[in-house]
Amino acid sequence: MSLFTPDFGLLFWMVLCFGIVLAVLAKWGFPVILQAVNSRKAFIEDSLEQARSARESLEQLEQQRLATVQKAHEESTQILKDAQQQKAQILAQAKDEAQLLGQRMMEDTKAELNRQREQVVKEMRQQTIDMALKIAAGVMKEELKDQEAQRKTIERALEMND
Amino acid sequence: MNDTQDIINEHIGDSYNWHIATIHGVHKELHLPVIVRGQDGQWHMFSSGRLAHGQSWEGFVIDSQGKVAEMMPDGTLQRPIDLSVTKNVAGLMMSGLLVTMLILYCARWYRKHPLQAPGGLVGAMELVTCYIYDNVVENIIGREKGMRFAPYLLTAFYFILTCNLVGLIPFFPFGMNLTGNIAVTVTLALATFLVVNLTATRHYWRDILWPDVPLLLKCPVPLMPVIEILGMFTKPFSLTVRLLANIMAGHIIIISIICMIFTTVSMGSVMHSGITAVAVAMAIFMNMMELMVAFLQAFVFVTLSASYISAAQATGHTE
Repeated sequence: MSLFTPDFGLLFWMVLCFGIVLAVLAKWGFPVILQAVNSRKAFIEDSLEQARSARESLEQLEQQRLATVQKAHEESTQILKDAQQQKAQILAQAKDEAQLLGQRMMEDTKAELNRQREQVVKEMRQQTIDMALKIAAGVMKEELKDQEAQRKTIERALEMND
Repeated sequence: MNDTQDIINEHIGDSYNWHIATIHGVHKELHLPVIVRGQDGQWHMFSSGRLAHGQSWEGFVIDSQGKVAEMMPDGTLQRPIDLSVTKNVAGLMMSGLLVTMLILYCARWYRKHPLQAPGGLVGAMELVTCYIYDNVVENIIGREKGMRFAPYLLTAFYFILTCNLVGLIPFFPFGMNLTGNIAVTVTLALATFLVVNLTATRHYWRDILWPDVPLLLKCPVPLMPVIEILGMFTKPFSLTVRLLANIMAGHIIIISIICMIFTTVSMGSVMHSGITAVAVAMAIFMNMMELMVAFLQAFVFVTLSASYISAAQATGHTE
């Protein structure tokens, strides 16, 4: 059967054809394609890895930022609280001091008043003494003249003194 | 009936002419060059049209089996060394050129566009190439050794696939039965045989010549080595016959179905039209089938080649 006996001419050409095709494609064809595909695959994997790590670091940064904001918030609250406390303290202190000052002023005023009163009393006593001496001198003078007249004089003097 | 057989034989066989069409009983055909070396040691090259209709040229004629023969002075016919570019040779050259150009075009695209993903034709080719590389080469042979054998396996795949598909297109300049011809398949199987045995490891040869079996099986009578050496040759033989038979059978079935239309003309118009309808439907179905077989057989060929190569790469440590 000629169908199952290879024809020499066709065999020759087939070996030649396939040999040339194989030689050309094994040198300039498939290695180029496979290497290109492989390096592209590696590139894609690399890029994915990079993207992943970038995302991770981004997440870390975000977390850091959040933490910083949180801390700042806490600090500001603390500062506000402190300020409030200080304010209250200062107010209380001022109040105390004002009270103290008022008290002292009051005491000073009282002392001054006392002093003035004492002076007034002293002066009054002096005047009273002076007046009493004057009256006494008057009385002494009148006594010598008229009893009635003396009496009148003393009354007059007392009236004047009221 | 004989007529049908002739048509089938002509269709799946080889020819010195490239038949294009027959219009009003006139064969339109391309006369391909005949290249022969006569008994005098001289090479002769002339158009096959010189030998048409039983004519002789430079002492050569076409013999009863359709081959070029040299007329000897004593009147006998002698077969010369025949390197004619027949229809199948022209088809092989065309397929080879097609595959080479297609792959080189893809390779050029990759060189021009590093790190980019192709679309269109190159993308489709990449899909097929990567499918074969991932599922056959890397899967069977392994990653580190796969790169060494990938060019051969991929070339074989694309070459067989192209030849298969070329055979399925019925009109000029296609339609020749390439992978259904034993010269083609035997060459491909021989290529696998050479790749397998020329790259084989020491362990592979030891497994063939002195396998790990009881001594009686190999010492006085080398039973196992003989079986193993036989196995070396049955593998390429099976590759040859599998591809040949699959493609040839497909061609024979399709041409037979088509012939049914013409052999039933004399049976009356009702019978004829009925059978024609059935034949057309069956021919369409068979063509679809053959389209699948074209891919399948190319895939099977490289898958088996890869597994033979992988077996010959055994180191013994991995087991």
